[in-house]
Amino acid sequence: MKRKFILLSIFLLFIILSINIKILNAQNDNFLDQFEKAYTALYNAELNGGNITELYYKLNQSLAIYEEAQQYKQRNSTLYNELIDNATKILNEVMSNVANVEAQGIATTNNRILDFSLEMVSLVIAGILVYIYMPRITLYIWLKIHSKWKVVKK
Amino acid sequence: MIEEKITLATLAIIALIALALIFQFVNPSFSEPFSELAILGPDMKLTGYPHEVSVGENFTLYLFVGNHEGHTMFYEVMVKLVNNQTTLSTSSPLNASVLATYYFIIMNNQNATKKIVLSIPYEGTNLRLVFELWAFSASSNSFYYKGISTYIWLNVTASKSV
Repeated sequence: MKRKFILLSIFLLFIILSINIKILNAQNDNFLDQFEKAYTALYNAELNGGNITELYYKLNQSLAIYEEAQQYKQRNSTLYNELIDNATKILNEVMSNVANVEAQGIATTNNRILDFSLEMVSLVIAGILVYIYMPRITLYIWLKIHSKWKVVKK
Repeated sequence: MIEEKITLATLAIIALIALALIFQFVNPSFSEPFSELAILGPDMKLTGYPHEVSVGENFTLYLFVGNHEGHTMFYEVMVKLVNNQTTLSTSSPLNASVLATYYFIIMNNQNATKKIVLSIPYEGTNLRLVFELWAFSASSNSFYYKGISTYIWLNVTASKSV
């Protein structure tokens, strides 16, 4: 009877430990999945001209906490979970701000395109005006400068 | 005639300004995008690598990763242990079990150095501790091998009995 109880206890302990390891591994995979999503969002925001510097530092901070958590994975599951939670919180912050950064980037890019178009149109108009009026203006100025000249017979 | 010369000169100046503005807007890149990977010894130098370690003994190295790809990159460095018969390839990663994995997120034209502590789980002579650089592709949503790897030679002896 006692032997059966010991065997059952060992079996249950084994089950609990393996479930715990599975949960920790799932948390790891889940964090990395979320991190990949956050990076993809950051990448797209950068591609659209967003200023991602602040979000980049936050992502790095989250990654550093995740790596610190790995040291405690086997030794202290409470601290491990706490650190993974902190890292996930920072990831969520990044995810909630990245859309704004991307929208600002798109707006900046659109403004840049508009500015560039206006500059080009202004230059074309300036070119046409120069082509039409420059000879007249030049002659007018030339005449103004030389209006007091006298022709002297040699 | 003078007025024609002045008109042409003014038009040339306008054309130059337009070219400068187009160049600034398009902002072409003349350099080939690339990434860097290096292992540094315990003193953060390219020397002093461990050559003899015992099984399970911790040793410190530094991983250096540089990003010149033109945008922020998410890197993964995989550490693998192989024997001296294995050939390294730039086209495909090694088919060996992964000893450790490290992640880096680096902005364009920046680099990062990370302290790593490793231990080898089994004995062997002339083993190669290989570090492979992988990068995350946002389009395919997975890591791909960058074709960059580096390694150090190791002799792993039986663990010292106390």
